[in-house]
Parts: sequence; structure tokens; C-alpha cells
Amino acid sequence: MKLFLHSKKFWFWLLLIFLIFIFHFIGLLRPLESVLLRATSPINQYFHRLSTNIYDRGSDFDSLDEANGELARLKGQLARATVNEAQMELLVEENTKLRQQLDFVSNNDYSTLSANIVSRQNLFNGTDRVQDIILDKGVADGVIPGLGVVDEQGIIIGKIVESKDYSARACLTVAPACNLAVGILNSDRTLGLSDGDLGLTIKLDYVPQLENINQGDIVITSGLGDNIPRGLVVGRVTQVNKQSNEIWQDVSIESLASIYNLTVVSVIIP
Amino acid sequence: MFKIVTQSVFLFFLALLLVILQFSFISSTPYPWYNFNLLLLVLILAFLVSPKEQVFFLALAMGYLVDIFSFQAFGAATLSMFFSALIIYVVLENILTNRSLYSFIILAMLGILTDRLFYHLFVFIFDWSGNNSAFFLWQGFFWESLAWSLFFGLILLILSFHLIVILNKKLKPFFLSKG
Repeated sequence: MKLFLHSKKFWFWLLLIFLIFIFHFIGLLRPLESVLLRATSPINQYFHRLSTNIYDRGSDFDSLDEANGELARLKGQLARATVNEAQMELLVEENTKLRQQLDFVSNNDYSTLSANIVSRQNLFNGTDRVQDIILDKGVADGVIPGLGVVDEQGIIIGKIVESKDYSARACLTVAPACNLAVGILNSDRTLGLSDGDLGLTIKLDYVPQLENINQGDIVITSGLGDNIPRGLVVGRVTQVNKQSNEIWQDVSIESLASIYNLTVVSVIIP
Repeated sequence: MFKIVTQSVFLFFLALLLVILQFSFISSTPYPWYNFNLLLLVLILAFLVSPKEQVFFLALAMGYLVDIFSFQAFGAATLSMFFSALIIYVVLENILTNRSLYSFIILAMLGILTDRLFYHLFVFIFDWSGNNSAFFLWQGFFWESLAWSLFFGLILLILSFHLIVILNKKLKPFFLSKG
């Protein structure tokens, strides 16, 4: 029986692996690794976009009637939003003047950094049905763990959990253990910690029964997290599970972003 | 010497291309499609057409590149690729020596199984941060994901094998008869 283990070549390959490990951990291979990551970034972006376009989830509707119903609902919502926007502009103007008079610093005092998604950590994370995203910006660009990630509309979609020199990994708000400090825009201004649920929705657990939460309430970041500013839209309340014999009520939130079709995001630099 | 260097450079760039395809293209597809392990399929097929030294180099290069690109513990992919290649080679040289399709189906199953087991075992060992909430063998999704990897891997292997049979007369898509 020919066993490779008895040959000198086996020990040569093991020695090679050992040397790769040593050179990697003392940083000798770092320039090569950085060059590889940066040089291949455009190709990675291309393949990620190609894959996203091919597997675009497409329409969410099963029938034309369902689509027409949704269209009518959205038209109504648009009309109400337009009215709200007009009123909001007046309030913003008034608020700006008052802030200037009081010499306040604006709450939205942060900048953003655009980043391309180059991959989704799937096969290499085969113990969870979660698609963490890999960005082409890293520590060298100021991207550090804890920073918020938003889509092109400014809706928060996740946060940075790990970063290397030229790349970073972000968890999505719908992924389990991706927690965000959030607040609900209801009459009680409920605060809580959001958590992803099965990669599909966001849940808010352990909310006291006395809090008055309604379907459709908007959920925003509370600003109580380390590096994520207040006021970024997280999603909308879709379900409130309130049972009289329970101490807590469970809240389900739907993200307003198309999380699985993203190719470009922005990282919020406080 | 020049030939060895050029071959190594070629294999490294081939590994880079394959890792990019796996990392950016296949990984970005929705569930269950992203479970297709292109790297391992190429590794198994490489034993059909290339000398073992080149296949081991390819395995090391692919493992190292996966370690650079991914955010899992460094070394897990390098070691799992190497040990999977080693097991495939030992079985191919000692047990399943007839180069038939059936041999390669068993080899593919063995390769995918050992690669996934080794990879998650090394991640579990190397991950000092304690991010692993539960041991991977007790998680249902690990086995589900492994089953999809085997399914996609075997389908692609059968197709690729028949393609190679057309181009290479040394291989037979059936067991050799004794008579």
C-alpha cells in the first residue's frame, strides 16, 4: 500500500504549509496579500454584480391582481408621504433656525464612504444560513468594526463586524446575532436591541407589554450604539405578538432595503 | 527549473481565477446554489490529468487564496484543501485504482465530505474569539449544506468526467471487466 505519509515529499508539503503560516503571522506575506486583494478587487466586483444580476430575485408578486393592489396602496402612501414631506421641510427649516439660534451641532454630522460588495460569505461559513457581505474597503480606508452600513437610499442594512487592511465583513440586519440599538417612532418612543431572524426579517424581543406599538410604525437607529448615529431608518413594524399571559411582546420588523440585490453600499464614518 | 517555475506561476494564476469564481460569483448566488464547491471539483478532476505534485501545489494555492479572501480563521482552508487532496490521492492510488466514473463518484463524495469536515473543524479550533455558538456537527444547516454540496458536486463531476473521457482515451465511464 503506497502511503504518501512515508515519502519525503509529504514532509516537504507540510513544511511549506508551516512556512506559509509563519510568514503570514509575522507579516512577511502581507504586501503580497494586500496586492492580491487590491488587484483582484475589480474582478471580484464584476463577478459579484454578474451573479447578483443573474440571480436577481425579480418580482415579489404571484399575480397581476396582487401587483395592482400593491400599486394602489403605494400610490396612496406616496400621496401621504408627499404631504408629510412638505410639512417636514417646513419643520426642518424652522428647526435649523432654532438650532442656529441655540448654537447646536447638527445630529447628522457624519460622512459616508462608498464601498463595493465583492462577495457574500456563504460556502466558507457553512454553519449558518446567513449571507454576510464582504466589502472592498478596509482599515486602510477607515473602515473599522462597529460602523453602520447603509444602502443608496440611506436605509441601514448592517454593520461592520470584522475588517482587514483592504476588505471588511459586514453582517446584515436580518442575520441572527447582528444587533443594532433601535427605537420605534411610536407614541412611547420604544427603545430596544434588534436581532436578525433567519436571514429574512428583524425582530425586537423583550419589549414590555405596556409599550404601545402598532403595525406600520417606523423603526430607526437609536444612536445608543457606539458608532451608529441616530435616525437611520431600519424598517417598518409588520407584526406585533402581544399575549396577555406574557411579560414581553415580540415585534417583527421588515427591512425597507432590498438586501439581497445590493452591489454598492456606504459605510458611515462618524 | 524554468519549466517548474512557469508551471507553478500558471497553477497559481489558475488557482486565483478559480478562487475568484468561487468567492465572488458562486458565493453571491442564493441558497442552495452557493453550496457548489468548484475548487474541490477541479481538484478531484486534476488527479485525472495532472501529476500529483502539481495537484498538491494547486490545492495549497487554492487553500491559501481562500484564506486570504475569506474572513474565517487563517489556515483552515489551506489545511483542509491539503488534507483532502492527500486523502483523495491515497484512496486513488491504493483502493479505487481503475479510473472509472464510479471510482470518481466515490472520490468526489469522500473529497467533499473530508474538505467540509476538516474546514469546519479547523475553523472551530483556530477561532479563539468564541464566535462559534455551537459545534458544527450539531447544527442541522451544516448537514443540509453538505448534502447540497454533494449533490451539485456529483452532477458536475459526472458531466465533466464524460467530457474528459471524450478527450482522453485512458478513462472509462465504467468498471473494467476481469475477462
